[in-house]
Amino acid sequence: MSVITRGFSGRGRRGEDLPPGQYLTEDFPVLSAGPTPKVDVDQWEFGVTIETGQRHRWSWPELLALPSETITVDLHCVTKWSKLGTTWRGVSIDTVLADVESAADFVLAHSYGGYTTNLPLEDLVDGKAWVAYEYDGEPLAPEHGGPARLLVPHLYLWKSAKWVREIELLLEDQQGFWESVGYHNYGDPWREQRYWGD
Amino acid sequence: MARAAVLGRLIWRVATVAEVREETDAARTLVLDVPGWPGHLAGQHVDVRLTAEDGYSTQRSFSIASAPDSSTVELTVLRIVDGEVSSYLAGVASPGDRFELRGPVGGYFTWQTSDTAPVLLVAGGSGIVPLMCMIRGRAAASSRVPFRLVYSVRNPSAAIYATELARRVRHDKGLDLP
Repeated sequence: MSVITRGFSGRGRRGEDLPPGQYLTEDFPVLSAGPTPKVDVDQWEFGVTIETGQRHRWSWPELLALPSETITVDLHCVTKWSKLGTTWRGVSIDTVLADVESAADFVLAHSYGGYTTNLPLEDLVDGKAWVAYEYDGEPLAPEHGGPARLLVPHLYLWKSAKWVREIELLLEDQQGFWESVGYHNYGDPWREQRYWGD
Repeated sequence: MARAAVLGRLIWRVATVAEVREETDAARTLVLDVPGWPGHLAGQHVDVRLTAEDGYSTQRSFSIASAPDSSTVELTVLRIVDGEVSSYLAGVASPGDRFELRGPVGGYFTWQTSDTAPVLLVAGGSGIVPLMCMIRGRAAASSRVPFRLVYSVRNPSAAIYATELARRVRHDKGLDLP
């Protein structure tokens, strides 16, 4: 049973399209655990490492040469803001994994700058996730994860690793950065899985 | 900054406003009684949940301002234009009012007395709040770890904790505000 707070009426009523505890924002807040890494696309590389240690890799021109998709999705940050109808362009993880053979069930995503986050592999496939390199028709800005970030819009946004460098496929789950300091292992905004035990 | 273990399940607790302090024209500190509060590290935050009479509720996160070993939890909130929660907390809330809170949250951006390296604190506006928690925690522990605070504000009257900071710079050895 919630406590009713005297004198609080609330400005808006939650729409059907916002998960519990979220509020709508029109701007695009920037929250990072560390400094924004400078990543030159001439040096940039994206890799997929499988459980045997074998690595598949793409240079920047190679990534851009892959078939891309334009998607419009809603974003939900664990810090409570949601932004609806954002448009991105990128390469589906299905495309990236098309020639990758693996028995893994888990993924640890690695970023330039050292950030990590973990997800079940099934949450990255079947049209649910992308390596995104354009936002709103423009190259993805560094503060939002450019040159390229992971985009997994059905989970809280900390799972959409900025400056993504590598997808490591694992047989056993391994906690990422925020997951190891109290944030939920899975992070479904519709079930309000913000912290451990939620 | 230390990475500290975060406690297990974070339950919602009832916070009662014990005292309200005006800090600036737009910022207020709420002193809260939170029965069962497990304590916190300097730099951690809480989630606040407000519920209206018709059941509508909304949440926001706020940094903790009070030193880790204090008996109450203090939040300093800057009122922003059209801020649904900040205009309640920094405008309406009065002693005796109650709302829900859970935490502490965040084990990354913290400072503990066992951290002995010199610290540079950089804040703009209400970003001072979690850093003030560190400055207060340092003083409460009689730490002499060098702290330097760089604080940017839009105008002098917008500086939160200005009086306390001026006093601390005089008395807290090793704290400096260039």
